[in-house]
Amino acid sequence: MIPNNFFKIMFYLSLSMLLGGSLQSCEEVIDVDLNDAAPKLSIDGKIILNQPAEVQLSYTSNYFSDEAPDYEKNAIVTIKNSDGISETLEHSRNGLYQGRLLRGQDGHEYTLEINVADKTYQGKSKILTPTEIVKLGYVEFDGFGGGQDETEYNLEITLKNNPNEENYYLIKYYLNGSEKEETYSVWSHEFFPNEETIEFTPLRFSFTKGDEVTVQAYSIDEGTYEFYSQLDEIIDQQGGGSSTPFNPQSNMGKDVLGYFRAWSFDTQSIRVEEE
Amino acid sequence: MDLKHYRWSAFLLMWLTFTFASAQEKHTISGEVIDAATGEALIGVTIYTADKTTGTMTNTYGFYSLTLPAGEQSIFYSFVGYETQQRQINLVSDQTIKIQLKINETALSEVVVSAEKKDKNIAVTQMTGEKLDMKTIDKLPVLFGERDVLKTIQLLPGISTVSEGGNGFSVRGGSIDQNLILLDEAPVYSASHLMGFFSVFNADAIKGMTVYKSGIPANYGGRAASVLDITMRDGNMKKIQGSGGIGLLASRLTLEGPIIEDKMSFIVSGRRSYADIIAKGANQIESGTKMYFYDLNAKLNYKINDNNRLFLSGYFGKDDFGFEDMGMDWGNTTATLRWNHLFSAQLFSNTTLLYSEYDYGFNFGDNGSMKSGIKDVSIKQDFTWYSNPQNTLKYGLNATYHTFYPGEFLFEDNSISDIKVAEKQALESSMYISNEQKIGSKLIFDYGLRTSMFNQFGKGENITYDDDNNIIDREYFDKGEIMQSYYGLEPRLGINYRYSSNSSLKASYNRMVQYLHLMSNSTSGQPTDTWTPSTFNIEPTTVNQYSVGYFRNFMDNTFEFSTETYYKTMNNISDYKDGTQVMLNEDIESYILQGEGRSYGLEFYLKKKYGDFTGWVSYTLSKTENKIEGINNGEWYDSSYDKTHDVSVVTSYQFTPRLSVSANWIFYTGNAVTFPSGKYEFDGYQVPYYTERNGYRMPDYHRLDLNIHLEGKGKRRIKSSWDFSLYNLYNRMNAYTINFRESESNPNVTEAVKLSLFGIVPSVTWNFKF
Repeated sequence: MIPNNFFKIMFYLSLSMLLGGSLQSCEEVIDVDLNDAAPKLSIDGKIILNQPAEVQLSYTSNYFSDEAPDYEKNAIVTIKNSDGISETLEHSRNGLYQGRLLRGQDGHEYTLEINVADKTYQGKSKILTPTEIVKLGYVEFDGFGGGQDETEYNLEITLKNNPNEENYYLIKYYLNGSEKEETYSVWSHEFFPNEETIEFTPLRFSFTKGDEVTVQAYSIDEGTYEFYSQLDEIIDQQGGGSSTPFNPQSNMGKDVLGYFRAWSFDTQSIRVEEE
Repeated sequence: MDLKHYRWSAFLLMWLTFTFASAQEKHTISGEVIDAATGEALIGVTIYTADKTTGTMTNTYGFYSLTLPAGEQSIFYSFVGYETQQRQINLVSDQTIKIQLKINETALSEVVVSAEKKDKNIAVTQMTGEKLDMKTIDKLPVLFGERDVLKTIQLLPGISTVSEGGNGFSVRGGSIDQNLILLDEAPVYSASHLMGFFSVFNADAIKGMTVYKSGIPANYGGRAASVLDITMRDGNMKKIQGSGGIGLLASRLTLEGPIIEDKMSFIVSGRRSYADIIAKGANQIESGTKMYFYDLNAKLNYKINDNNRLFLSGYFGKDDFGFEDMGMDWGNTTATLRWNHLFSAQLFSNTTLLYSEYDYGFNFGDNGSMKSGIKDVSIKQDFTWYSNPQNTLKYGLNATYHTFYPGEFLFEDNSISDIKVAEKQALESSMYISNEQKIGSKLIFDYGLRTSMFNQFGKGENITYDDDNNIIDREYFDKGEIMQSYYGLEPRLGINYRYSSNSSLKASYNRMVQYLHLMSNSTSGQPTDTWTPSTFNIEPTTVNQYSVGYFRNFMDNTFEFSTETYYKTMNNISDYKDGTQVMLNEDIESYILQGEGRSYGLEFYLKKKYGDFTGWVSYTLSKTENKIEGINNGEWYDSSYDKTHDVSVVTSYQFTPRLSVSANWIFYTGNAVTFPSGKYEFDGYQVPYYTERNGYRMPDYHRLDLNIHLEGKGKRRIKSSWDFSLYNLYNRMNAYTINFRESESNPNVTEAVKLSLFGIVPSVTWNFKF
């Protein structure tokens, strides 16, 4: 993902420089008349290392609707590990199905199966070697020369890496105790030397003095990496602009939205100290 | 290709050529027509006899040849904006007649020389070979004060803008990579500066251009939709002169003159943007910031003798953006060496050697760098045989060796293996023959055939993929081994029936085969787009186009009117599977889907050429659709290049000899785009849900621009002029993109956000000439 994000940054950087000063580009929230598609099932399934599985089933709704979507409450949801041990998840509320017994284990591939109205959806994901945030630091962002008002900082992240495995990472960035991440980025082993640790400075996330930053570093499999890369294209449409949007490809079947992933994560926080 | 058919067609062509030649004693007059003041060759000068029944035109090099019956002849040489010359000759043998035409100082006003042949538009065969001279382009309003040939052609019917400010254009529903853009015969692969807001063509160095959108002559090939043939100026043969301009964004300087008077001349023209210098001076950006483009055109022109002439021309341009050791750059380099040779007064030959390269690169500082590009080396031989006034035969051949380097990512850290997408090589070769034949005084046929061949060479591998992009087979090829071959048979036909003295009917058919494809995730064209050859997995695009038009002139040719309709079928047009990562994708071929397309439309064009008030109105009504298995459930969908309505109004008024004001108004239907028809929740995000490809429209686009052109006073040593432009006069916030996202203030609310690039943009340019 290095190139992709970088291209976006470069494109907007040059555009904003070109338009900077007396010329103004402008963003405006507008009304668009959108169709209402027939509701489609969306699966948000996960199993985390040492935790039971959790699956949220809902349906698509009108794009501008601010109401909660319709939930699927009558599905049969089963998870199975590589040893063939399986568990049926129970519906708790609002389309949320929870497991209790089968917990995520390092090296296991999990199969999630969902039956809804005579249709079966099935997908797999594997928990790879968990990573660890070895070091979390920050560095002053020297900018692209854009003359910021306030000094900005970028993270310097060092992660533990398994040289014998093709690892992929998803990093979520949280600001000042917020429950929802500001943004995320994905990283592939291809961009790093095959060593015990990897280091990088994500450019897409910056912060200022006094901010408290929390990082969650997920160890993910290749399929999850692909899905979150595609998802990033769709939810962060800043770059490219005119490329054709699409639905990220689910691992649960062709005619369904969402994804099932098995993963582990480590978390750490840092605060930019006032001088 | 069926060889039998080819032989028959060639035979037929030869036969037709000779059929109409008669036995009467004849001689040929030939030579060149140049501008008397500068020595610059004039393209498209009409040469005709007193009874106007026999005539010809000068070619790209200013050369003409006309074979006439022996005896007394009165010959006229006529060119718009120049005084018509008449020569009385007694033709007893072949003669070389060089003509120097003088600029008609009053020609731009209402004075009409009775012999002037102003009805060229109805008299020539090319349906839509629209010639534009720099005088027309000079007067139009421009963005940031930079005259731009590519923006000007987008004001013509059938040629539409793809995105605001952008230089990518679509011709009759074709994609941006289907336009063959030639600069002194060298193909220019990426014609834009500054992310597409400026074209690479420095107007000071350009003599003129011709754009073909149908009835494309057989000597052009390789692209499916159009040809834009741009000719660089040759340089003043008489005296040293300079010109230039200082604008808000860029400045330019051109120097030209004789090295040996009337024998050898040069022209050098440079341009550089300096927004970065100004911004640095004003402390808006830091000193390490790079943000500029420059280009350099140079040409050497040498008349060895009456029968031989050499041209060496080149272009070099680059854009550079970034900060210290991080950033991106891209640019074109072209070089053309041409040799004009006259084998006889009737046989004109041109031999061309050319080189063209386009590349772009990224630097990621300590992380590494990336590079991608295309390189062409080409040889071309063209002959024109002016066999008799009724027949002009053109034939030739061409071979181009393409090298594609789709991309490599080199990591600074040697312990990481670099990402390299395999380099590809291909040889594209073609032969053509065509004849322009006049039958009687009313009918002209231009028919021809082009055969093309494309071979992809090793080393490399042909990879077979399954539907899920997994490799199921690999076949290796050594260096020089043929990996894949394609052939194309491309007939071309144009008919012009002169219905009356001021009207004509034209019809044409052309088949075009395109072997190169542009890999791009956008429709508007970006510097990071990558060219790739037709391969084992990607088939060449073929287009068949049928076109019919009616041309009529009014009020002594002051007004030109034309209407044309066309129908086009396209095969093997490409699109991508959803979510394809185009850049640095080693298996990109498995993500390409090919299908069919169709486009049809109706165009109107009304132009006032003479008088104080000049300009044109153009309107296009059209429909362009694609059908590709794997996209939109295999159903027809509107192409990204579909524009229902496209209107341009271009006007210019000469108030006084020093002051002219021009304005243009543009309107077009918003592009077909994909918007969400719902949303769903995933991992805390509200994700848009897409159901239909290009099922929505961007808002309609329109804008008005104004330009005031003021010439400097009197006859000073330095002639100067000012251009004051207002782009988007009524400050309409046209949509550049519409994005769908969670509201920044409340992530539970989703919203549509319109981004507009330009409100009203004023600019001023000072131009000078010495």
